[in-house]
Amino acid sequence: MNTQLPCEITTYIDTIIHHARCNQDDKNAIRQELTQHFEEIYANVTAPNAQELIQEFGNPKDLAKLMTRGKCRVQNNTALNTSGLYGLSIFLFLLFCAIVLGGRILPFINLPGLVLSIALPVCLGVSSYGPTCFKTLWKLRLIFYTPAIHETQNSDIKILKGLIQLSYASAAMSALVGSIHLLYQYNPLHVSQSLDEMILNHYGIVFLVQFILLSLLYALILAEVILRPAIKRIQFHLNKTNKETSIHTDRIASLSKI
Amino acid sequence: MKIERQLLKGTAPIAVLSLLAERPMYGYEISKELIQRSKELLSLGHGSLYPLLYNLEAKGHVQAKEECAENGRPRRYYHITQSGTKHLTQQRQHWEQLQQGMHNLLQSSPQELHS
Repeated sequence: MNTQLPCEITTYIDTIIHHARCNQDDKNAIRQELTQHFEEIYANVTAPNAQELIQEFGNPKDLAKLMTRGKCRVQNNTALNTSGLYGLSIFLFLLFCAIVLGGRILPFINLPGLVLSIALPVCLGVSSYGPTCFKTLWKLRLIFYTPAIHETQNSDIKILKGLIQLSYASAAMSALVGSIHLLYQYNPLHVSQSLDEMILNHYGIVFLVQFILLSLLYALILAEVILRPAIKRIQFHLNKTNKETSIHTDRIASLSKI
Repeated sequence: MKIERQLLKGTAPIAVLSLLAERPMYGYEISKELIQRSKELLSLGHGSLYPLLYNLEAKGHVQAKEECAENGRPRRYYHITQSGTKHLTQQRQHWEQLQQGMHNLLQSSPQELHS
């Protein structure tokens, strides 16, 4: 930052960012762009009035809404945002509960009783992967999106961010393994003989659906958390290399003139 | 005399795209160029410019790239894409038709209108 912006302007930008409802990356991008814009004004216009500039820009809340709308469209074209994934996971969980506890699959059997007698002992051992995974993801997300980490350019912090991303991946993978285990427990393709096994087969279908949906969910989490930042980093490094190359070319050109 | 904001709203994307068709520009440059080129007739509020650019980016008409300026200042340059050029050509045709239609309408005398 070459120009020191007045307090009113920085507060104004902060208000826009505060009201913008998009992910941290987009918020950072908006903040950077607005800061650059005001810096340009301060560098090119003689004695600009901060209040007039703010008035010209408009109401920060309205602006934040418009910015969010624009940024959300960009997000929708690329991938689901992380909060959308959490929303989706909660919706799937509720849907799953509604199907199982609502008794739509086996209406002639006391389903809550069956869930308690059959599924609970298994769930205690195996399906605790799911909640653990989401708890871990949530905690990691909080650490990952801490502004201090995002704004620091220290290489150690970058390594830490990398490690957090790896933890995300491992958490997602463990959840995936948990789902496979569940599927194996309730294998719908297994030829059943007894009533108990038939019931298990019905559950198997439910778990198969759950497995597919969860796999999709984890794939989206992986894409959001691992691939997108990785692509951004690669793009950033490529841009940096191009810039360095152009700087070298300029230097060589200036030296050859001398 | 400045054009009414509502009237300008629909033309703003075409104006921005036509500027970007010449060369990649950053936000502040776009707003400055717009005022200068239109001889201060068209002035898009600084606040409305960025949401508009994000919308154009979402539609794939422009692409943003972080570049370093000559003075070392990092800037986000907006480039027009192929889809943007195509859209601009279409919009230009529509604009010319609208202009012609409005011209015909406004030029016709009241006697002609009654007959």
